[in-house]
This record gives sequence, structure tokens and C-alpha cells, in this order.
Amino acid sequence: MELSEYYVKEIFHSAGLPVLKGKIAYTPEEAQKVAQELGGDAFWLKPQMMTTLPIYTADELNNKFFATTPMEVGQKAKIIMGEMTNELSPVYSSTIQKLYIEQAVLVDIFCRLVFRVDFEKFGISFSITQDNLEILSLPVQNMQLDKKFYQTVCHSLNIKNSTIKKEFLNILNKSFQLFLDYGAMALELSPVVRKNNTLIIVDGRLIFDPDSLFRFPELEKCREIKLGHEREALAKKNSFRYTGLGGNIACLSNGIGLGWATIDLIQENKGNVACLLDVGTNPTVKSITTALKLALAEPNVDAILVNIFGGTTSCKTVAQGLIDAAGEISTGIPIVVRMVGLDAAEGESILRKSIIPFYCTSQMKKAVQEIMRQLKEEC
Amino acid sequence: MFVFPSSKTPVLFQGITSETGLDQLQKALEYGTNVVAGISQETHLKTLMGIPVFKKIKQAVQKYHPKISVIFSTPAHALEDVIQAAEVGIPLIVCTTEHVPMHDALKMQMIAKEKGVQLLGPSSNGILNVNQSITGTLPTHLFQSGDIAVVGRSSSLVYEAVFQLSELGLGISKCITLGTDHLIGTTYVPVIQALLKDSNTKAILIIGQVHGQLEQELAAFIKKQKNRKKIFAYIPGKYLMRSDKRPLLGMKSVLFSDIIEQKKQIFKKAGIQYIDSVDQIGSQIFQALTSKKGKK
Repeated sequence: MELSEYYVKEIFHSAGLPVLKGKIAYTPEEAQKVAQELGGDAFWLKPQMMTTLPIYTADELNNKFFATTPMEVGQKAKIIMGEMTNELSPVYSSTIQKLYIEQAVLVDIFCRLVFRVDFEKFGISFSITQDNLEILSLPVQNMQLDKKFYQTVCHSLNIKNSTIKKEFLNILNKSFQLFLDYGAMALELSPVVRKNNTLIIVDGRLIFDPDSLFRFPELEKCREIKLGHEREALAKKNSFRYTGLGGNIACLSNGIGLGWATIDLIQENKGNVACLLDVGTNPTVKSITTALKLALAEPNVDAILVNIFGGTTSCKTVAQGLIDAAGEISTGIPIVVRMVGLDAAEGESILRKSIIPFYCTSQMKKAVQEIMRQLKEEC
Repeated sequence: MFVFPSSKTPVLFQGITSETGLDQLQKALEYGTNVVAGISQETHLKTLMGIPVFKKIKQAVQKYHPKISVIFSTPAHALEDVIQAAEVGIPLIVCTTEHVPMHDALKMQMIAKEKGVQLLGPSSNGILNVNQSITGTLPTHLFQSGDIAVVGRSSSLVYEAVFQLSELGLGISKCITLGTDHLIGTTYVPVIQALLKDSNTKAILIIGQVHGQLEQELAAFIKKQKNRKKIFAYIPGKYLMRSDKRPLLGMKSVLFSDIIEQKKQIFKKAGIQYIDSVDQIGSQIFQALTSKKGKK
């Protein structure tokens, strides 16, 4: 999970990291007022949207999002909130509703820093980028920053000024502590800029591990749904996983491995998968129902393949969930169900008794072939 | 060194009073697993289904000397339980807990390494030694006895493979799931090493994962072995792709098919038979094993 920049800045500020003063604004008028309140002779107007935005470039910060007076802030806010959608499309996929108005400095990028959980090396990795070039990447041994770590980092940046060095180490320590405190997947400070003899964090990201969020209930109120990720959010709320893939066959399965293998089989048979709905190994009737309803409501879905392996999942539960959903939304879309394992016979009999014409089989290959046949017939 | 539990191996259940813990306790006892004790802070009961329950792991260990601990705790408590089990020196810890926070998983690995114990998981479905013992959540009803071992990351696909094999009359000797999480403790190598020495196992099936380097590590290990058994492998996901626009998490935008092709070639070079399609797992193993017998 990610938070908008203005929330992250709040967290950075409370952790004692050097950030500039800023406040959120929802209208151009508000933006101007906020700038007046903040004071100073330079401001940034940063669009706050939950998309996978590229990191601000120095040019954007020094020109596009930059203003020198509150009045200019108001004028630029109008442009950004109104016209930017077309101008910057497709990066910005929707109109901008929030601007973070922040005191600005002239950007002289010092470096970008990232701490992250490294899935390949099974540990924590740290990297520094300067001018879009990774100049250092090293593991954080035993989840602790030690003397050798500091030495390597300072050496790679070639910091000579002792004040800057002190500030840099301060940022390093506090940001790493923040990364640990939140059990984060990644913490990014980018860029860190130099202003006279001080360092300032202009932008930053904190990517939370969804599995550690139970420890931070206070973050729930800051949670926003990423644009274009509404289905994923609905899925998460109902304990299943949604992956959009763009084709026309929806695939509902229990367990990610089985789901991926099913996609492979569909694609091998010249099918095109629209989405994967992974209900996990312990689905409830409700999660199955919500998942199938989501698939049925997708305009591009022409057929649905359900592949359930009853290891710990009861096929009875699955059958009930499917009937509930298909009974509620009748679309006439063909639904092919492959069920084996625990309570498979009972599950199949539940489906056969229903008025919805589910096609049932115990063979995975047969299920895929059947779905391809039905799709051909429709054409 | 990885040792498979037999019907005699003393097993400890941590988080025994959780829903899964209780459910699995009954299944394990029915299967003949030698569960010697359980740990729970949340009960005043002294025994559960005839098994003594302790609040402190030390007491249980002093009295019953368990060789395996299976953890059924919640994500919030899993780390603490792994630490406790590692500190008393239980040589094999199976953590079945799903959704363990990543930093906790890293700490689990650190302590396991420090104490020199094996940690299976987190998010592992455990180990099944067919007709001997179940230490985890694998559904025993799927497994017929035989001489093929199945080692996998994903549990659902392991079940699928076992189903296909049993449809063709092929049974299983042992089944080990390493866990689907990115950050797991025990990798393929120690498990396969033990299986190569296991007299009840004639062939091994590996269900791999796109992510990570564990398959490469395994292939390098297998290459060095003599007198190998027949090894098969399958990895799902070749039609998916990763499309991160920002390389923040250290991932480059790559096609899964490229990674799988790479792993397939590495497997092949190590003498592992790669199975291309999920519906052919059973039939290809059947063919390879029976034609080999025919030649003899």
C-alpha cells in the first residue's frame, strides 16, 4: 500500500526528517490561500494522485510545478487542475483534485536513496542513485546499519563538507529507523536536495507491506484507492485477489499457483484471459460470490472458467457461491466449472440442480477446450 | 541437515488452540503423527485431545524433546513463536502462518540461521510423510502411498500434481511445501538433498516459482550430485508478465515467459526433465517412469 505524498511528508516530519512546510488544497482558490499562509517566496504545486506517477524531475520542480507568489500559485493551480489531464496524458489518467502546496527551493539534486526488502537476496537492500545512475547498491546486514555501511555510503557520495556529512548520516539513520518501524516494503527519499549547507527531502515514498498494516490502524484513514485499481481494492476487501489481464475469459481459481497454471493452459489453447480471480485456499461463499459477480460485471468478459482444486477448499462452498452470484446477475455468459477433490461430487450436484447451465467437468484440459468451443459457437 | 519426520518423530504444536491448530491436531492424530505436546497462552486446559498443553515452550521441550515444531499462530504472533522454538533448539520449525509481515519473515530467517535450525515457511503447508506423519496443513486425503516425492512453493498446484499422479496410479512418498511467500526459510537444496538419500523416494517433482533465484540454486546443486534420481519440474505463470513502470522495488520490467524459459534451460542442463504444460504433469512423469522400467 502507498500513501499520497502529503501523508508521507507528515510521517517524515514526525520522524524528524528535513522536509519543507506544506498543506493540501482542493481548489485553486484554496491553493492561493494555503500559499499565503505558508509564506516565503517560492512554492511547489504538486498533484496528489494515487497513480504510479513518475518521480518529479528537476525540470518539473523548477518550472512546471513552481510559482513565486501566492497569486501565481492560484493561477497555476487553475491550469494544473483543469488542463493537465490532456497535456500529460496518459501518465495522468484522471483530473487532479488535490494539490500539495509546499514551500519550494531551487532544486539542486544531491541524490536519491532507497531502502527496500530484497526478495531475491532475502534481506534488506540499500541503493543510491545520482543523475539517474545507480552509484551504490549494498545489503543491510542483520537489519542494522553499521560502521562499515556508513563508510561505504559516504565514500560513494564523496562527501567532503562535514556539515553535509552530518546531515546526511542523520537522514540515513532516521529514514532507516522509519523503514524498520513501519516494517515497510520500501522507503524512497527522492530527491534529496542541497540548499546552501543543508539537505532537504523534496519527495518521498513509503510503500507499506500489506501484511503489516494490522500494526498501524491509524493508517487506515489515509488509505486511498489507486486510480484504475478499484477492482483490486474490492477484491482485497473480500479476501480474494484480482489481476486484470486484458482478454475475454475470466478465470476463477483457488491458489495463485493453480490460477497461473490455468492461465497458461487457456493461453496455450489460444484463449485470452481477461482476469484472474484467486479466492485462495480457504474461500467463503461470500468471497466466491463477490469474485464471480465481479467477473460477470466486466464488459469485456465473454466466458468464465472456474478451476477449483478441493485440497482444503470444499467444492460445496464454491458451488454455493457460484450459484448465488449467477442467480443475481444473469448474463448468459458461459460458465465452465472444473472441480475436483474435497466434496467435488456434492459440489457438482449442487450446480447441476441449479437452473443456470453450468458446464461441469473434472478434467482441466477438457474445461479449457469446452470454454474455447463455447466461445467459437458464440462467434 | 533436513530430516523427514517419521511416525515416531516427536512433534510439538505451537498455537495449538487456534482454529487451524485444533483442526490439524485432530487430523494429525488420526493420521498417526506423534504429537507430544502443544503450546498455547490462551487456554487453562491441561490437555487437548489427550495431548498435554503448556504455556511455556521450555517445559514442553524438557519433558518431551520434540524434534519438530509446527506453528499455527496468527501473523502477529508467528515471529515470537519461531524465536522461542529456535532458542530452545528445535531442529525443524514449520511455520504455516500466512500473511506474516515481511520484516518478521526476515527476522525469522536471521534467528534460524543463527541457531542453526531449519525453518520451513512462513506460509508453508508443511510436510507429509505418507502413512507416517503430517506436520502442517496438507490434505492427507489426496495422497496415496508411492515412491514419488513432491516439493513445491504453491500448495494448490502441488495438490493438482498429486491428483494427476494418483489418477494414473502413481503414489507419493513425501510432500514438502516451502511456502508461497517471497521470503521463506528453507529452500529446495536441503530438502532435495535429503530426498536423494531417501530410500522410499524414486523420483522427485518440483513445482517452482517465477520469482527469485531458488531454482537456479537448486539446479547448480543437482548438477554436482552423482547417482541421481529422476527429477521433474514445472513452473506456472509463463503467460503473465510483470509490468512495473517504476523500478523502485528493484524489479525490472520482464516477461515471465523469459524467466521461465531461463529456468527451464538451467533445469535441463542439470538433467531435470521440465514439463511444459500443467495438464501433462501426471502423464509425462508416468511415461518417463514406466518407459525407464521397460528398458530395464
